[in-house]
This record gives sequence, structure tokens and C-alpha cells, in this order.
Amino acid sequence: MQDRPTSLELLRAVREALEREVAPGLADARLRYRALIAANVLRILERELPGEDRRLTAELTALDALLDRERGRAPGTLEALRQAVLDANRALCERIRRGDADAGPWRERVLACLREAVAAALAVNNPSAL
Amino acid sequence: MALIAGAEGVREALARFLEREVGAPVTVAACASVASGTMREAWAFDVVLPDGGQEHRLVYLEDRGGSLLPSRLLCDDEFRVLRAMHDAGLRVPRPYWRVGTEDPSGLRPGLVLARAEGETVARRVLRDPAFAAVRPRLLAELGEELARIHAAPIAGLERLPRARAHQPSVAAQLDELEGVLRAIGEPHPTLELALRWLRAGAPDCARAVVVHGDYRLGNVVVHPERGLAAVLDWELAHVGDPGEDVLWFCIRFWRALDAPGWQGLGPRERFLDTYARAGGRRFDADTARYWEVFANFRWAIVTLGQAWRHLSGREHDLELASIGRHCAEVEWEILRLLDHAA
Repeated sequence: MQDRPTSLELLRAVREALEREVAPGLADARLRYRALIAANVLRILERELPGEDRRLTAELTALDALLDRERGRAPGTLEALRQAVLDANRALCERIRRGDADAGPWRERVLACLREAVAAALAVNNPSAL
Repeated sequence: MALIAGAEGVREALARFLEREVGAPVTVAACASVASGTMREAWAFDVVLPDGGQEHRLVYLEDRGGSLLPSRLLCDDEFRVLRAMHDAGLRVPRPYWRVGTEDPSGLRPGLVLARAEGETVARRVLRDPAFAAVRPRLLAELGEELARIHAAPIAGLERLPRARAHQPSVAAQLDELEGVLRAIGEPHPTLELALRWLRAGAPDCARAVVVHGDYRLGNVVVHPERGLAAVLDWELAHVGDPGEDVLWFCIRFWRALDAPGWQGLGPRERFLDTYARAGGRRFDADTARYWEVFANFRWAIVTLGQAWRHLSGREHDLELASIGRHCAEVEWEILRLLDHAA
């Protein structure tokens, strides 16, 4: 167990310092712009870290259903979970490239699954665009 | 030749370059870095040339060596396009000189162009009170100017990338974009769906034109009184279907047009209508949707490619890295468009 501040609290502290102190104090417009990009990247991480395992598990479950895959046991670590989602997405890409999703009911299921996955990614990256 | 660095180094190198070009000593004043994209560094400077003492307000666009897409034009070809467009009376910065590789002045390859007065940052054009007077007419000006670009003569631009014979104009570009996607190698099912759909439905190109390749609000100069002053960044120019530019301008990501919950420069219909009335093509709903999916797909690939410039270790850069996280927004729009498509 790490001492507080937690990683999330630290991220927020750095972002707020960038937004409120560093950026406004920079005379160079280019550097100010880059400080604000950095702040926005930290804001993305603040949204990404809480519940990342839950989102990955939901995506994996949806992809397994779409690909008719039985998975005995869920991956035990976050790293294994990430790899499993990546592999399942690769398998989905293969099937789309073969033309399996060109038309018909499976296409509708693919579209529905992707809407869920992309919406979840966008809720982290830029929720105002949803 | 030692590498030049900083505004003072660029200023001195520019003086050396210009002296050789004009054959007489010149004084370069007020050289400063100005905002530009991720592709090149822009240096604004003023110079008095021995041609009558008039001060020239110029910009030196210094290549950073990156590339939005593999088919990006080299400086020489971009210079030719600019010259052709300038000669055709279009609103582009007057091209002065190109700087070649290993120039003895020490400058990196790039272009020296007239500096158009005004604003390039889209957010300011959309919101800053200074542009309130020109905002109401800007969308119509952008539609008309694009129609004029698409009416410009292609003769003399034989070196521009173009479609292969007996293929839809878009096929070569889809090959290129797919190549970028494969090279990066990460799974993007939404982009695979879009690619299948685009390959299957490529429309016939009624008339091939000079396509700007990146025509959007962030790539034009807007003057607070004169309105649209110049169209910049011709490095992705090619010969192709006018629908590419027209719907590229329209994609949601740029926030240039009105959308639910967003006030842009005006409704999409006004842009499409002024484009058509100025001699451009009128697109039916299906054709417009095709080019809108294509534009979003192309932009999605560019975002991945920009992030890859960072991830591959070639150019460590925060801005390039952060662009990778824009892809989901573009994919979201692609899914919306595909959902409404036949």
C-alpha cells in the first residue's frame, strides 16, 4: 500500500499546477499551448485509471460473445486482461477483413459492440464529444 | 555546416540564403517563431530586398521531417503547386523561394513565402470578437474559394500524385491509408469496417481536380476585416475527386460547422450551396456520405500515424503522442455515419 497522495491525487495536483500556475505564467504562446496539452493528457489519465479493469472486463466479455468464444477463467492481472482484449480485437479485425461483417445480423452485432467500446474509450479521452 | 539554432541563428542563415538568391546584401529583421502545425517550424521575418527598398513580410517554413501521409509532397512540388495556384489568382501566399537539402546557408529544407496577415487558429476565428465582422460571410467565402481551387488548371502539375489508370480515384489513397494502418499494426475494428465499406462503394470520379488535401479552418488565414486571406499548407495536394476536399472541410472534428450543441460558422448546407453556386459540384446524400466517411477514415489514420511518429521513437513529442487519443472521437463519428448508411 502506497502512502497518500494516491496516484490519482498526484495526477490531479500536477494537472492543476500546470493549468493554474505554469501555463498562465508562460509568456511564450507555444510553450503555454504545450503546457495545456500536458494538462489535458493528465486529465485523460485521471478518467482512465479508476475502473480501467472493469472497462476492460466488459469489453472482453462483449468481444468473446461476438466471437463465440468460451473463456474458462478471466485473466488474473491487468496486464493479461489488456493482452486478452488486444488479441480479441485482432481476431475481430481478421473476421471483418474476411468480409464476415459486410452485411447481415452479425454486422449489426459488430456495430453495436463497437459503439459500446468506442463510447467507453471516448468517455475517457474526450467525454464532451459523446 | 554547423546546425543553426534559435531565432538568431535562423535570422543569420536567412540573411546568408537571401544574399545568394538576390545577389546583394540584405538585412533580415524581426525573425520570430510563429505557431504552425506539427510538420514544420514557421519563422516570420521582414526583409528589405535591393528591389526598390520595399519591405517584404515573409515566412520561412522549415521542414521538421515528419509526414502526415507517405504521399506528402516534397518542398519542390509544393512550391510548384503554390506557384500554379498563385498564378491562377487564388488566395495563396505568394511563393518566393525554396530551400533545398544541404543548403550552404545552413537552413533546413523549406519554403519562403509571403506572410498573410491574419489568424490561423480556428478557435479564435470562431470565438474572438475581433472576427465578429467577417464571421457571417466566412463560410460562403470558404465554399467559393474551394470551388475556385477545384476549377484551377491541372496542366503543369503532372508530378502531383493521382489515381492509377482504370481505377476509382480513391483506390490508390485507400491503399496508402491501409498501408499506414498495417504498418502500425494495432487492431482498430471500426477502421477495418470503414475500409471495407469504402472499398466496396467507391464512386466514379466525374471530374478530376487539384485537391488541396487538408482544406479546413485551421489551414486558412482569416483577416479581421478582409475575411479569408489565404489558403495554406498544400503539402497533401493531389489530383482527385472534389468530394475529398468538400467533405473533409465538413467533418465534425474540426468544429467549423454548426452541429447539435455547437455553434460553428454556419450550417453545412450554406457551405455546400455556395461551393456549388460558385461552379463546384452538387453532391447527393449518398455521395456526400461516402466522402464524409472517407474523410473521417483518413483523419483517423492520420491521428494514428502522428502518434506513431512518437511511439516509434523517431520523434519524441508530447503533442504527437496526445493526438493518438483523438482517434476514438473520429471512430465514434464513423460509426454514426455507417449506422445511417445502406
